[in-house]
Amino acid sequence: MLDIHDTDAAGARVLQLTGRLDTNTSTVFDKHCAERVGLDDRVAVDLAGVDYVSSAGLRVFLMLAKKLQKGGGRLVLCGLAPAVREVFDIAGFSRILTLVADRDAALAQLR
Amino acid sequence: MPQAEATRRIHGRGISRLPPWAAGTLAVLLVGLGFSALVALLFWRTQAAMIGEIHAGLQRTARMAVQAIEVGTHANYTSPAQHLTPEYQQAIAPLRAVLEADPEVSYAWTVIEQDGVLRFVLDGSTPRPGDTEVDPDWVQIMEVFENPPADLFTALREGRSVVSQPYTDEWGTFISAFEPLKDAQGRTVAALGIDLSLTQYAARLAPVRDAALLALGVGWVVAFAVGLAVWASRRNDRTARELARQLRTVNALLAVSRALSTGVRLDELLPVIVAQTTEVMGVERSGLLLHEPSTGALRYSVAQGLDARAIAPFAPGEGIAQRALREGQLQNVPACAQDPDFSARPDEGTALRTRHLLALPIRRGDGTPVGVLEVVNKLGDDAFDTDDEVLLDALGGLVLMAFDRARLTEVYVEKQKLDEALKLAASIQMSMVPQQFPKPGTTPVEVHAQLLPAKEVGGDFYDFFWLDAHRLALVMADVSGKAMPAALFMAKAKTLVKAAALLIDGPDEILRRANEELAADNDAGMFVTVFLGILDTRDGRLRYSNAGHNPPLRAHAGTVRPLDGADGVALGVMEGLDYRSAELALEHGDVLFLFTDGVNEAMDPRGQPWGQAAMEAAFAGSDGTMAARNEAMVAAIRRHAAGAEQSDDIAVLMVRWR
Repeated sequence: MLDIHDTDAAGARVLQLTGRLDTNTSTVFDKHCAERVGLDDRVAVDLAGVDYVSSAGLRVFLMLAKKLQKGGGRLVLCGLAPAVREVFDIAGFSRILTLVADRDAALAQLR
Repeated sequence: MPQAEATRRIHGRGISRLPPWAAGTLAVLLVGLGFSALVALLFWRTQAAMIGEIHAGLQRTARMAVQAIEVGTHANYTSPAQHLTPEYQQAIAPLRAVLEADPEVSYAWTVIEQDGVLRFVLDGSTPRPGDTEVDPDWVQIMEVFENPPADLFTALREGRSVVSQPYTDEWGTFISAFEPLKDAQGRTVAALGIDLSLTQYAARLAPVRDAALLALGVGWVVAFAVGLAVWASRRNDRTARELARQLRTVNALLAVSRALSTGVRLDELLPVIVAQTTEVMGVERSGLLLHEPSTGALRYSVAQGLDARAIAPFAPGEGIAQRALREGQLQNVPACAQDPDFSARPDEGTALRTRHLLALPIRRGDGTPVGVLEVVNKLGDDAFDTDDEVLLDALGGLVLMAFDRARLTEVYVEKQKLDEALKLAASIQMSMVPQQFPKPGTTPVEVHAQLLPAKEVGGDFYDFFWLDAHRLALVMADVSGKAMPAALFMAKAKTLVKAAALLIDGPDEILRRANEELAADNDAGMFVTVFLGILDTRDGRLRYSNAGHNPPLRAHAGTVRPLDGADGVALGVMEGLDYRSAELALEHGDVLFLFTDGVNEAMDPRGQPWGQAAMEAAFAGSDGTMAARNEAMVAAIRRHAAGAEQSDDIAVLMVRWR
């Protein structure tokens, strides 16, 4: 349903998600973020492989952003498909989160 | 432990332990040999008595014959020619009388000793003058007695009555009574012999022998019968014991099953199982040790006859129970004292001394250790056998079943609680949204809405309320999250938006204020998307603001368009955000459709969402009252879902101005 690939790229943590981020899989992603992601991590979430994000998924990004903001880390999302981008846009999350085109752009942002 | 003592006495040792065939054989031998010894004794006694009687009879006959013989004339017969003389015939008359009186007597005769040679004088078998039938064995006067029996010399030389041992001479084999013939001076001058042939002798003893043989035969038959009876009864005994044991097992299993069916608490179930284990296994003590995952120690949960809590846990490596758990195998220890792993701690302060021990490790299907079930000292002081191992294994299964049941029940109760919470969340959600709609004709607007909560969500809501006599507020919202937290957040958001709307002018300002309240102290990261529209029913002007919600649709003159131009961030995300508002003028017949993403994202069984385009088409195609249009939308959603479970709340609201 949802695959999380957690890698390190040039000092930034890259979370590559594949699948759907719905009510059920969001809890998996939430748990992963809570346990693995440090407060001051520079995190790029690559959503190229994600075709659906629900409001529960949005909530995890919100929590992650709040946590990193508090700890001095940073969060950049990239590779959003149009349908996913629309969800972020409608909820207004595009305004408060950093969304970029692809991973290279994300890593450039985090550098 | 009086019961144990009693049972041990009943079980006993020795013969009752033998297998039935051995007990039967032993019974045959004991009875048969005992009977044989008795018959042999009786036979020898009877035979001796009979022999004595025969001997005495012979002697009596011999004495009577001796008294009838004229000793004075005995010496006169010196020639074989004399045998037909009247005197000789007269002299042998007593002997002839003996022969005639007792047909068992073969011969009656007298001998004298001359120069160490024995010569016959009188013979009862001597023919009479003129006899045609003559005994061929009669002896002539003065005929020499070749190879005489030694006993005859005793009579002749010592002058004593003698009954001989069986002896054989030229006439046959005999037992004879020899009687001395004495003259007036008491000197033995001759001896009388009365012969009983051995054939006759044996014939007289035959009935005794036959009776003895018959008795022996009967005795062995009886012995075999007794053996058979012992074997059968022992086998029945064993069957009966086996049945009794099976009955105990069944009863124990029933008792445990009853407990399992009524109780779910481990602290109630485990003592029942352990008590039944003691009963059905016939042991002095049973105990259940539970594994403590944090330390790996085994602690007594239930221990019959012991204070379970007073016994310190067994650390890994201590005791046979730990070995059973470590090796994952049942431990059958016939002599605990000689086992290096054995711990006598449980015995301390009790009268019981552990001699034999069975320890069964209990693990879940996935290998997680649960504990160890152990039984101590079988009643009757035997070591535990394979039957015991199988039985304990079955009882161990019950312990596992109790654990599984308790765990399942726990899961079930949790699920029940969750279901209750979900029901409560749904009922909070439903109770928060208005279900009464303005009656058609009483106002210039027609409103209808529907909320279909999904099983696990509880955050969508709609609302409509009058701000004054002319202005109607329309709200459609979707809370992130699910169940109780979502329902509570929804209640808070709905109240805040309504309160702000009643106090403040302008939808953008209303949402801004609501966001400040919701974003403060929102550690759970919950948020709510809200569309807020304020319709002035006098002129159809609609001012609206959108906090991250799906834009409503407007059906106007055959076209469907979203209400955009006022998008903002969902409420609760962060403080300090500003919102925008937009305005549009509705025309007569225009219909607005407010909805949550449960509509356009409704999934079919393959997970395909309904989609914005299909939703817009369905909205465009709907007609009739607002209630009818909502029904049509819900029906269209259901058609798409085609039976797939509703994964998100669905809220729809239709409004028409004039």
